[in-house]
Amino acid sequence: MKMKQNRINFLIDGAMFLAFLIATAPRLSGLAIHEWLSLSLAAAIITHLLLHWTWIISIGKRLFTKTTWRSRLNYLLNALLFVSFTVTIATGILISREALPLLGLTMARDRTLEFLHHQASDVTVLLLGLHVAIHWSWIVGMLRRIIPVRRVSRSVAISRQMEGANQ
Amino acid sequence: MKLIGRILIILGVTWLIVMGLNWLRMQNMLPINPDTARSERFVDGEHREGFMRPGRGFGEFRERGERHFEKPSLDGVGDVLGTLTRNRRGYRPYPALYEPACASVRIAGES
Repeated sequence: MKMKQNRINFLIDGAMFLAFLIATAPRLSGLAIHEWLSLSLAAAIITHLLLHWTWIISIGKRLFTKTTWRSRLNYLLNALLFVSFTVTIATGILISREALPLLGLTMARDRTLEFLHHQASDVTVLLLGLHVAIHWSWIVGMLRRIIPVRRVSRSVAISRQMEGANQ
Repeated sequence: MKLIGRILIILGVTWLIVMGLNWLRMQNMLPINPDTARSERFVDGEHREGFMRPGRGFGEFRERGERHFEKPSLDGVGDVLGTLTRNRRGYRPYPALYEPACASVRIAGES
């Protein structure tokens, strides 16, 4: 059951990471895909938070009492990541030229918001890198479980080589 | 019901962050405002390709209707790798890919 949940988390997180990479390359995706993909990423972030709700609440409750410094750092990093994601997406919605007009809303061009959008996206890239780094062992572990790599022991490998040489 | 409550909490926190940002903006407490953005960063970014990062500068959203990147283009495929490795000086994994793209923007702008 736990493994199944881990797999679901892994697949959702992987898809989110890929979507984020594409969303941060608007030259590749074009503006329309950039905007719609970012909006769907916002929905995915909500899903991600809901899937990790127990962790958020449990660590949040004992953030200032008894928990490890690693968990505190992780919590702080995730909170900052959430804020930077929110700022990026909110400013992105406000400067939207594809998604918002489709809903009948047109905003006046605002340089401050554009600047904030770029700055927040840069901060998000940085924080997301740290987020991935903190969970690196889990990511590698999940990858190994999903794509099992056969590990041949040294002695078996040598005996196979010997057999090949004899033939 | 619990799920809806949690979603509402997340949206509520998001709303508070956005409102906080807007309040900071209204109070001019953000490190930038339209004037500084224009004088310090945007003008440079608009006239010089790659003030912050080559090919992805602040002029990126300028005159959107005329910009080639409105449409998907494989010219920007290097940006995905660039996202993973980019820095303040800018990273061009495939410099050749950027040049035709920049040229097409200039042509589009001139016509």
